[in-house]
Parts: sequence; structure tokens; C-alpha cells
Amino acid sequence: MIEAEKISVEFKSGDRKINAVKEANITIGDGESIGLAGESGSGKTTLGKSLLALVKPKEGKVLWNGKNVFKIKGKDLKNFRRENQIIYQDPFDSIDIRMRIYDVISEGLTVQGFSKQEQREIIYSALKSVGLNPPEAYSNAFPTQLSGGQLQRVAIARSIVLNPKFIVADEPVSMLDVSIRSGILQIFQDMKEKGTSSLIISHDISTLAYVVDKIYIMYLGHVVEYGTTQQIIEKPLHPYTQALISAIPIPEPNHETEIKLVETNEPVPPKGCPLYPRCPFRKNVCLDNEPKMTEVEPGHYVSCHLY
Amino acid sequence: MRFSVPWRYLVKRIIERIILLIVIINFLFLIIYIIPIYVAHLNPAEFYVPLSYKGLSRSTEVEAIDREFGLNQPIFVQYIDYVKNMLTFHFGYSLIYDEPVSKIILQALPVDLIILVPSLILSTVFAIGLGLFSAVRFGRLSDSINTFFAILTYFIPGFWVLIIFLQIFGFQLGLFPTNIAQALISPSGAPLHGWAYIAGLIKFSIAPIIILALLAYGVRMALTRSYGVESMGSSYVTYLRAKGIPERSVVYKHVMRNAIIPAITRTGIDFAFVIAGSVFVEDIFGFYGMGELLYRSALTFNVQILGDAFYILSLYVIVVLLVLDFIYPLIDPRVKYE
Amino acid sequence: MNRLVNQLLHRKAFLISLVILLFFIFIASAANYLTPYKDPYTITSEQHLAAPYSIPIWARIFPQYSKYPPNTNMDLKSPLILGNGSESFNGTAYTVELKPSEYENLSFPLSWNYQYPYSFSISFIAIPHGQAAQINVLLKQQNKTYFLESFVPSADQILYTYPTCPLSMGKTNSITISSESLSSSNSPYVSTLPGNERYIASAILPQLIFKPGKYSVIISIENIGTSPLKVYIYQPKFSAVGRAYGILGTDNNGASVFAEFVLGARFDLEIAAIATLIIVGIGLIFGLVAGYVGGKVDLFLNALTDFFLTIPGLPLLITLETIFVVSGLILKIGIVPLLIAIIGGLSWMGTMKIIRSVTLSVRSRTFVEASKALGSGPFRIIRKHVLPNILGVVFAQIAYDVPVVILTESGLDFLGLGITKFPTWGNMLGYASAYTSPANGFVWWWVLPPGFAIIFLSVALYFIGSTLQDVLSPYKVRGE
Ligand SMILES: Nc1ncnc2c1ncn2[C@@H]1O[C@H](COP(=O)(O)OP(=O)(O)OP(=O)(O)O)[C@@H](O)[C@H]1O
Ligand SMILES: [Mg+2]
Repeated sequence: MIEAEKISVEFKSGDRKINAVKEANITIGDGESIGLAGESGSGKTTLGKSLLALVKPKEGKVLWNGKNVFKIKGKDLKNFRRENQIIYQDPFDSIDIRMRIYDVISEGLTVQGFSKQEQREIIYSALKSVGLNPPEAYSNAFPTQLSGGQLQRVAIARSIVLNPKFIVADEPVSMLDVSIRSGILQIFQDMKEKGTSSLIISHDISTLAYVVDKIYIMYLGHVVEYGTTQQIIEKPLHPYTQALISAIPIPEPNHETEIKLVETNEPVPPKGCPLYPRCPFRKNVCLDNEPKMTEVEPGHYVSCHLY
Repeated sequence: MRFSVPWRYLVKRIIERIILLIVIINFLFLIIYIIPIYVAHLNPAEFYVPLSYKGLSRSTEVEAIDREFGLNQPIFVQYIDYVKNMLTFHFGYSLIYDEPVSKIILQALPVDLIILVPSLILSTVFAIGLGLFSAVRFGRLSDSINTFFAILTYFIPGFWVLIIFLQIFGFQLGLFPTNIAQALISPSGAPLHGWAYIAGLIKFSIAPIIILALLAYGVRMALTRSYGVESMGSSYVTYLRAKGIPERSVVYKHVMRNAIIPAITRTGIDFAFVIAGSVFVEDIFGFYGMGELLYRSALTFNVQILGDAFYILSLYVIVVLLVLDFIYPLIDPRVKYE
Repeated sequence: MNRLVNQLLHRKAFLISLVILLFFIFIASAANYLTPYKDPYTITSEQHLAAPYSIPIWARIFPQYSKYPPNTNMDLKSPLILGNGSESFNGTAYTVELKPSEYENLSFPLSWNYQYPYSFSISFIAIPHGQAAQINVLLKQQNKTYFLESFVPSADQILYTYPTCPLSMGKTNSITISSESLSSSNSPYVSTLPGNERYIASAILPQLIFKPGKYSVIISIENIGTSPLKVYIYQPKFSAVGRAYGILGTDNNGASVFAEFVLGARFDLEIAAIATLIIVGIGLIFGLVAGYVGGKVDLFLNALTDFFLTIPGLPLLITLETIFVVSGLILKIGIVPLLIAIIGGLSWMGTMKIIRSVTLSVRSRTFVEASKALGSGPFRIIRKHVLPNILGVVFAQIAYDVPVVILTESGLDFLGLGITKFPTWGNMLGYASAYTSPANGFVWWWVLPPGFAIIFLSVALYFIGSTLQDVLSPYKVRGE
């Protein structure tokens, strides 16, 4: 079980400060599969990384089986790393182009103390399971000789060889053709059946809907709504979620009217709701008070003054 | 655009440079006092004493120096004295030269500027001219050759070129005076005055000025070239060209402005370090500037002068760099305050 | 790896540079075979191999040098015999038998195709049996005869109006007539010279006597006694110290410049290699630590580097070295290690800055974080990811630092503040500059080679470095 409490992450770039994540709470139970959606730059990756202690937050903590992941060291840390894995968004940047594919995948196994023979078997079967057949051909190649989709599958293989209990998958299929997508999503499905929990990040809710149990929605670093997949898809409450969902092309003729966010340059109010400038339903209270998370129906939370 | 004084930045810079100065003083104290006393078990007074001075015995001299400079005091008292003396420019009296140290240094300092400053300016002119020449012809053979020669200058030992030049043109062909003393006397041996003096000085300086400029333009030429090439490819230049503005004026108005700023800022830094690197030209052409003072002191083991000259050179570097900190933001908008 | 080598070998600049570098490495490591000399600065027997400031042998292809003589050593053979005595030659010795007041001249032909040599000498062994003999040695060109020396038994010396030298009858006389030892007290010819020339005769004799043409060395034997005389003459030789010598001529001491050059190459490459290791070592460690660890450590290391960058380098070098010399520490450490330590210790800053900045950029790459996510510790990440990715820069930096070290070290040697006791390229230039004056002209064979060597070596290393950096750069690896 991984639990994030009031995580805030701040980046400094030059003299500007960016609040990539603000007081976000998220809980991933054992065997659970969670989706994280939001537009580009909303802080999904940053939140995902802070769950794995790869980004140091300004405030808040992340508990892994009751231990604060930012404080663990030594053997604990190694176990933590083995049990919790991440698949990066951009395989071109997350794979060292100077290593052969075999070495890329074996790195985690080596660090975690697997013997050479064990490694060979594990790596070949992982390559097969991500659809890189025959594994012998791929394992000797250099990353520069592979396509983006193939590389993404290498990145997935690298994470699953350690047989993690929890995996953060950052846009795992965005690089892949539709034909391969389902195969990859099937891998997540299989892992889920084996009891692996996951956080799947995507800017596209429709992809998530097939695989995850719960969906969290982020906007400008804030978690604005979460609930079960069904609740979010069928009854989105937050205007931002509604806008996200209505943006999905659905081939039903009499679908609800689209909700459109306002395009504006208005700044985000320092104390109010982050969506205030763009919200079609905004009220005065939204300008000065940040809405609190409230449970609107069992398991379905939203932070919006409309509820 | 209005220019506002960036106080915070300036104060920070001043403080940084002052810290640097203090570190340098401490460093000098370390190598002039601590190392001799504690590592080599020497009395630093020995450094101050000539082999004989007005017929006194050496031990009498050392004792006198001990008293005079407080060298028999506990080390921390000496330390305080040293820092105080450096900060207030009390360098004392050189028994070896029989003159106050500050006078010796003040005589040497301006000599450098006659040759070093003009050569710096000339090399900047070379750098900008050749750099733009190359930038405009980027990728062509003339650019490659030009750039190759600029790179070559990084690696040519300056003293080597100077002695070759001196031997061929000075000694063999007798085209110019081979040392400053020779330059400042008339053929009959009488010292020159007035205009003749200045003419002699100029005639003497031209050769070293040109050689030094040719040896130093390389780095700044490469800077000009690379910034020039960069701005030649910028979208603004493409836009200017698309608007039909003639190539000449694109190059002169836009590219030149962007390309020469780095060379000029670099010249400033070189100005700070120019005296420090003047030992060779001074030694070979026989004029008595700071470099030569330092060098002679090293040859004669005159640690007293050596330490003080080194301090003045460092101080000069720090002051010039500080002035540059103030000037750069005015000429180069890309230099940000922090 | 093959791909890399392939790419490298396809670059002309790289290949040429590599050839140059290998050439210097070759002459440096083969120094012992290329020259028999160990240290022409201190071993006097390795000096005076030829005239001071001798030109290189090959330079005689230039018209102004074409008649410069090389070192010459020849046996004098096939003499023309003139006289009224009898003479025989058995293959090793000439036997001259003379009755009283008979004489015999052995006139050895000597064809001299050069200008005057630096010095010359004529030698032979004479064993006179009998009562008294006079042996004269003359040099003759067409109608000019130079009466160099005359040997008579010491008892007879007073009989002559011109200077003579003693001859021992019945014993072995090793006779050597060298232009350097001829004076008005032992040479009839010198004693006839005008006063001012007489005093410097030993230096100017070669110039007075030799120009291209046919000479004969005449050994003239006369029986000045009253009974028969038998004189054996062995091994007549002529030798001249030339003014053209070896591949690179000679310096002011007549020592081989080529030997100095080769020994200097060896030393320069050695010191450059070691100092570069120190520079890259410090620069790499500081740069990696500052760039990878970041935070306060970075701040401190960066400030330290800036400090060293701000103090004027050459003056600091000079000051530090002087302190070490004055305080006697140099005796404990030795000048070479001290120079290496000082140069290395004051030259790492540029390398540190560059390594730091590339480390910073590699550290921010996701694959480094990915490795951390797999459980790698910092050392593994540096070893497996950071180092391989900055390797190009490290190589390039090595290539750029070697020339800097060589230039700095040569500069110190040139000034006489570095190594003075054995040859280096720097002190060769220093001495060349100190010992040349308007009088001896531009000694290009001494001045040019070390300077060109420094430049060629440096430029070659520069191109090797920049090619390596280019080929190893991530853009190239990606094939962009
Ligand atoms: N290392 C960093 N340094 C500075 N700013 C960063 C850094 N990483 C992320 N940010 C900023 O933090 C914000 C959130 O970034 P994040 O990558 O978490 O967004 P995201 O939701 O994953 O977006 P996307 O869907 O495009 O991947 C962005 O404004 C981004 O510019
Ligand atoms: Mg992302």
C-alpha cells in the first residue's frame, strides 16, 4: 500500500517557481489499479515520481507499508526500489543509448543481486511478453536501432523483470500503435491479476477506463476529483472532469452537450479555485476560497464549490 | 528601456570580490610566512636581507629586520600586521633595491600599459574582423583556413615567436630597436626627450604590440565566429532576408551587433589578466614592467618583492573584474543579474 | 566499438594528428636508440662534437651553406715522394732512409671541397732511428705553403730561427698538429703572421688556410745528423672539426641539438602525461562530485575553482616555485615532481568546470533517474551512466590539457625557473635565446625545432580531442 499525504512539489527554474503538485493526496491499495488523468503540465508525472521518492517534495510524505519513503535507506531502500517500479513517459530519454538492450533490462536485476543465469531467463521471457520476438535478436541491439514503440516496450520490460508489487506507468501506451496498445494493456491486466497494483498515468481518460479501478483527476497540480472508474466516466462532477470527458469523441448521437472551458489569460487567483479563470460555472466564492475535498457519494470525492 | 541599478547584484559582487581578496592575502601569508617558518624552519627575515648592506654583518641585519617587521612576534601578531599592511599598502622598504617597495612597484606598473593595452585593442580588432569574415563564409574553405589559424594561435608559444622575431628583424635586419634602453637614446648615445622620446617609444613598441595581438586574437575570433554563425542562422536574420534587406546590411546591422559583444566582454576579462601574462614579452624585449619585476624577484629569490608584486597583480585583477561586473550588464543585455 | 574506430579512421584531420602524435611518441620512447647521448647539458664529453652553432648536415643543400664542412677524418694515403733519399711502404709504415743531409718529402694529396672547418689536425707517429732528424709538417695549396710545425731533437732546437718542437730520437713520437694548439711559439707559419692575427691564430688558422681546392699535407724528413737515418712514419691522418653536424646541427657548446630535441621530447611527453593525469584527475573528481552531488558541495567546489581561476596563474606559479626553492623544500621534493605538482595543481580548473557542466546535464537525464529507480546507488550510476556519457568530453579535455601543460612547463623552463639541468624543449629555447646574439646570427636549427614540435604536438592533440568528443557525443551515437 502506498499512501501520499499532502504532497507539494515545487520546481525552481531560473527565478520562477512552479508548483507542480499542490497538497495532493492519493492512496493505492494492494492490488489496486489507479488511473491518473489531466492535461499536459498538470503534474501527473511529478506526482507519480514523488510516490517513488524520485522527486523530493517541499512538503508532505509518502508512506510505503507505513514507512516514509523519503527517509528510508540501505536495505529498506533497495527493497522499496525492487517492489516499486516506474515506466517512464519518454523511452528515448529514459534509456541510456550507450547500452545494449540486454544490459538496459538487466541493470535492475544486477543491482538487485540476481545471478547471470537467472537474469538471462527472466530477460528473454520479459522481452517475449512485451512482444519483442525473438528476444535474442533484440537483446543485442542498441537503443538507436529500435523504434519508439519498441523502445517503450523495452522500458516496460525493464520495469516488470523485477516483478514489482506496484508500478507507476507514465503514459505507457501513448507511443504505441493502436494494434500494439491492447497487447500492452493486457500486460497490465495480467499483472493486476497477479496482484500487482499500479498507477497508470494518461492524459486520455478513455484509455484508462479499460484498465483501472479508480481514476484521479489532476488540474494545475491539484487533485480535483477522484472516484471509481464508473463514477468518473458516467457521472463526472468537477467542471474540469466534465470538460475532459466531453472531449472524448463518443459515437452516440444524443450525447449530453459538450462542456467547454473558457480560453483566457486571466491569472489563477492565489487563494481561490485553480480552475476559476476557465470555469464556465464560476461563482464569487471560487475567487477567494479554495474548495475542499468532499465526498459527494460513497467513494466519489470532488473539490468544487458546486457541491 | 529604462535602466535600473541592480543594487542587490552589485553588493553581492562586491562582497564576493572582497572575500576573494582576503583569501588571497591569507594565501600569501601561508606561503610567505607559514611554509617557511613551520615547514622549512626558516626565518622569513632572511628573505629581506641582501647579502651585504652598508657593511653590516648579516646577523645584525636579520635582527634589525626582525625588529623592524615584527618578525620576532608571535605568529598571530605577525598575521594581523600582515593583513593590515596589505590592506593599507604598507609594503615597507626593500634593502635589496634600497628603495620603498611601493615605489618600485609604481615604477613598473605603467610600463606594461604602453604595450599590453594597445595590443589588446589591436587583437580585438583582428578577432572581430576575422571572426565576422569567417561567420559570413561559414563552412567554406576560406572559413576553415581562417579558423585553423585562429586555433593555431592558441598553441604557439609566445616567447618562441618573440625570440624568432627579435633575432631576425631586430638582430639580423636591424629593423627595430631590440630593447627599450636602445630605443630611448639617440644614435649618438644621448637620452631622448620630448617628441623624440615618444617617437622612440612608439617605434620600439610596434613590433611587440603586433606580435602579441596576433598571438592573442584566436579565442575571441572563435567567439565572434560562433556567435556570428549562430545569429546568421537565427530566425530574425531569415526574416530580415525574406524582407529583402540586402545581405550586407543584414550582416552589418544585426549579425555584427550580436557577434561582437562576446568578443568585447572577453576582452575585458583578458584585460584583467593581461599583466599577469606579460613576463615573456617584457623579458625578451627588455622592458621593466610588473612581469619582469616578478621574474627578476623570482630569479634573485627576493620573496619580499615577489609577494607584494603578486598581491598587487591579484588586486589589479580583482578590481578590473569588479569594474567589469558593473559594465557588462550595460553592454550586454544577455548578462543577467544572477 | 568497431563503429567508433571506423568513424575515427575516416577523418582526415584525426588521422594526420594521430600520425603526428605517434611520431612524437616514437622519438620520445626511442630516444635511447636515436641518440647515444644522455645529457648534453652536463656531460662535457657530449659537447664539442662539432663547431658551436654548426648547421645540420642536410642544410648544405642551401647555396649559402653548401660549402660548410662536416666532421672529417681521413687516413692520408698515396703520397707523392720527392727527395733524394730512399723510401718504401710495407702497407702499414713508410720507411725513409736518408744519408746525411739527404731529405725526402711525403706529399699526401688532400682534396678539400669545403669552406674552412672549425679546426683541423694532422697526426702521425714517427720513429726516427739515427743521430738527428728534422721532421717538418707543411700544408700546401698550389703555390702557397703553410709551414705548420717543425720537429727536431731538443738539443738542436736552438739552431733554428723559427720555432720548433722537440723530437725524441730512437723513440715513438706521437705527433699531433692541431690548429687549436698552434701558436707563434710552436709554429713557424704563425710566427710570421701580423701581430693581431698571431694572438688569435688558433681560432682563425682554419680560415686563413682552408678554402675549396687541392691541398697536400707534406711530411718532410731531413737528415740533419752525420750518420745514416731511418725514419718510420705510421698512420698519417688528417681530421677536421666541421661546421655542419648531424640532423639538427649543434648548440653553443657544440652539443647535438638533435640529441637535445629527442631527450626533450621524452621529458616533455612524460611530464605532460603525468601532469595531465593530475589535472584530469582533480578536474574529473571535483567536476563529477560538484555536478552529481550538487547543493552545498557544488557551491563550495565551484567557489574554490573560481578562486583559482581568479588568481593570476603564471605569477602564482612563479611565486610558489620561488618559495619552494628559497625554503629549501625543493631539495627534499626534487624539481621535477615539484613542477608537476605545481603545474597540475594550478591547471585543473577549466577541466573541472567543463566536467561539472556536462555532469549536470547528464544527471538531469531521465535514464539516470531510471537507474536510481531500479535501485542503483550513486557510485554505480556514475560508473555506468555518467562516465560513459561524458567520456568524449574527458578525452577531449585530456587532449586539450596536454598542450597547456607543455606550454606552461616550457615557459617556465624558458625563463630559467623550471628545469635547467637537462634538455627540455622549453629550456632549449631559453638557451637558444640567451646564447644567440647579432654575432652568430639566427640559429634556426636550434630555435625552430622545439617551437614547431610544441605547436605540432599541441595542434595534433587538439584535433584528436575534438574528433573524439565529436564522435562520442550523444548526437553522433544517435546518428543525427
Ligand atoms: N525537473 C523539472 N524542473 C522544472 N520544472 C519541472 C520539472 N519537471 C516538471 N516541471 C514542471 O512541473 C509541471 C508539471 O510537470 P509534469 O511533468 O508533472 O506534468 P504532466 O502532467 O506529467 O504533463 P505531461 O502530460 O505533458 O507529461 C510542469 O509545469 C513542468 O513544466
Ligand atoms: Mg508527464
